[in-house]
Amino acid sequence: MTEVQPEENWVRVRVRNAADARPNLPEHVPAILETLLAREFVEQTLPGKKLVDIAGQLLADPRTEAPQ
Amino acid sequence: MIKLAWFRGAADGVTLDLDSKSAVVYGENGSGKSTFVDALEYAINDGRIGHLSHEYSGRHQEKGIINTHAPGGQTAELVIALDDASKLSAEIGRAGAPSYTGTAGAHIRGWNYGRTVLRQDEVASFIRNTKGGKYSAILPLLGLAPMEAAAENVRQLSRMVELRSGLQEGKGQLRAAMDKRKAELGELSDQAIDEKVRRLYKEHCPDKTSTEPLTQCKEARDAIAVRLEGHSDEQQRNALLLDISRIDLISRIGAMRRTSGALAAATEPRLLEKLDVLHSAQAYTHALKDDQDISCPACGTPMPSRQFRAHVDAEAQRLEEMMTALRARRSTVESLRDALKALKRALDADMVRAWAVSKKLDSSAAYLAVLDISTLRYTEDELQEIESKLLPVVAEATKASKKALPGVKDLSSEAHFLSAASDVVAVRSLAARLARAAEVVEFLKALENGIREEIRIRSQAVIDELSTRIQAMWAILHPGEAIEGVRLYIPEGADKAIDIEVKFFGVEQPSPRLTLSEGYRNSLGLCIFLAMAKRDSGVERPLFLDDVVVSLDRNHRGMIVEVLEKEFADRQVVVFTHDRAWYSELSQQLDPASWRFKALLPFEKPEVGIRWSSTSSTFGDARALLQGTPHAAGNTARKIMDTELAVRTERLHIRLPYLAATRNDHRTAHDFLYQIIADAPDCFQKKTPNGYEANISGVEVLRHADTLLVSWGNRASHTMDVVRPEAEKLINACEAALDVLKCTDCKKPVYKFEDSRAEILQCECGNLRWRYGNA
Repeated sequence: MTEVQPEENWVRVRVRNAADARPNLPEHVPAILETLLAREFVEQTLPGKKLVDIAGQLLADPRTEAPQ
Repeated sequence: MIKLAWFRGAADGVTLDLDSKSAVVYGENGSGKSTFVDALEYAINDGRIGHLSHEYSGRHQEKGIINTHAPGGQTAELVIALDDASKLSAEIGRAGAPSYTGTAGAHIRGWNYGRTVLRQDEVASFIRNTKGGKYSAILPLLGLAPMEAAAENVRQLSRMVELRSGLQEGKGQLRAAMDKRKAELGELSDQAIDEKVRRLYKEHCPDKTSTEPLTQCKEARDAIAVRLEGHSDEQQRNALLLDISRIDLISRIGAMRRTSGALAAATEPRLLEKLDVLHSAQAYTHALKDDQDISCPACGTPMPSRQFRAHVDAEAQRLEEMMTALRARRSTVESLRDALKALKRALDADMVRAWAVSKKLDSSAAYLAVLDISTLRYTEDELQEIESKLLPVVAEATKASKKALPGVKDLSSEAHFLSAASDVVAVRSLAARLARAAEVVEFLKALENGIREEIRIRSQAVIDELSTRIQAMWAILHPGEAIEGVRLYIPEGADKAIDIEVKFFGVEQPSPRLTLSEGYRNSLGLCIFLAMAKRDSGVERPLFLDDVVVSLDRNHRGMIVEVLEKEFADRQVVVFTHDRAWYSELSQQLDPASWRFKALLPFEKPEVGIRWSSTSSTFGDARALLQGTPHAAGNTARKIMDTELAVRTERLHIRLPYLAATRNDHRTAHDFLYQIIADAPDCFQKKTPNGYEANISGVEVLRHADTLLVSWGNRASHTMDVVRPEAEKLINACEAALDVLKCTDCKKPVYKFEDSRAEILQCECGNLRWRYGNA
């Protein structure tokens, strides 16, 4: 078992709090954000191209398109 | 260790060797203390020194960095060596571009300059800074830069999702589709529409089995068209006229006029305003030269900064209103265009065109036949032409369609319903996509707010901790004083802002600038710097304090030792000072086991550069004057003895007779020496094989110095009648007198250790002692 680091903890808490209030939110959206906030999102301000890619993943219809 | 060659004031080589200890460096003004601090700043800030930023300093500041008298072709060099033997070396050529070698570069560049170096003119800079500037200064300490990056990325991502999904545009399309649905289907629910589609599909296509609503609509309409073809030509024409009669051209033209009017109302004043903005912007460029207040960069309106946010919000609101008007107009354009296309399609049928001719509507038919709908701009002239040419067609068609048989009317009505229903079904996927995008956007906004809340909570915790540290240091420097309750706080409703408040005689002040004197502000600035540095205690880097106590009086200055010993015992601290008395105090109070004391000689000329005194005493200042002004050298030696002996007399517990008023604070070297010499025969002892005996030779050295000070020291001060050999002899005698109080074996002063019960002071090895109880 791995100890949950405080940095990971706040990410999860904040993502879940925001997601819990929106029952219609596609499930893959908080999962992607949780991963991003634990990694590159906290390292630097991301360039627009990267953000466009992520926006595409978030907008993908989970019934017809699998998020990358 | 910092080693410099031809860098700033350094000549061919000078080294600040710290030997892994903290240090106090004394040097009078211009002796080169700050050159070492400059070297550190140069290394941390990748070749830039803040105070050299000037148009005349050259592209790489080379005109300020390289010693003006460096021999031709000579490069400037700096080497910073760390405890682990790693080094950063920089060689700076005449053009100023540095070339770095060594393995410590990345490590040193990782130090935060603002939390490593505090210069005299920067002491109160934190207090002077804006609230945003204070926040920026503290932000790295908060360790929240990653969270700030995360919040910003989430904000940008939210915007990107909004743009990429066409959320705002889509909302406009959806609104137009809903309006159309309401006009054609009334308040029918989705379920009722689907049921009716299923019923019509079953009725008109009994053999077909599609379950997809869009397909059902299409196939049912095709079946109705086939059934209509079974009717007479007249009834088929009536069915087409019924279609025309349903085209609500009047209301669509009216909507177009309304939305165009609203757009003009929203746009025209704004355009005029924008012209004013351009004029203001022109004035703004002139204002920059005159150093006037900065106007709003968005619209040029001059205003206090606190109103800026509200102003920007209002500007955004107005632009939003313009966008709403634009979208409404676009929607009505599409609606009218659809109506015109439907009319054109109906009039394309031969039987309808023939009907139009029979009703003397041939000019309308001809107008519509050549009308290029895609190029219409829907100006008032065009709208009037549409009205005059096409409204009669719709009116006549409405009249004529009344002759349609009930069965034809029903079929036409059902076909119209199916057409509207297929639009509703098609719009559902758009609505679902937009709803999903809106959910994602709202989620991201909530997440950004959540991260900002987390930042606020953590910021509060860290600034509370900093406040506690500042208060502790302030209490050491200013015990029992009326200024208290110093704390950092996040101003109400502010984002990315921090300020300082204090209690001044019990009254809360939102800023120390309101009541604190310059000295107190500097003292507070020092506390804040040290508290921030302390917060970084996990970081292995030194602290450089460059002449930071200039505006503090002796009482407050003295307490800094306690702060350094209490709070920074495990940190390397380098203190630079030009204050001889403070240097003397520090050299007596700080533990030589962890502190080094070094003195710089007065600066002579650039070719000679920065030089260290051969001893840690400040007599180098006096010796530097021997050549040109021996009387000044003698006077300086006396001044040094005034300071040094005051400290030593106190440490030796020597009681001096009380003098009236301020005369107690103006004793001279002779006053101190007189009493030391008087007490010494009974008190000052050295160890011999026979036990402790009076240190007679030591007393003689003290007496010799006193004799010379009374004669030559006073003469140097008052009549300036001292020649070089006399001054040199005086300096040597003074230095020897101070050395007498230091053990020649262990090198520690006679007051290193104290047994207060026995009233004895002694050096570390015990060879030298002072029995103050005997006095």
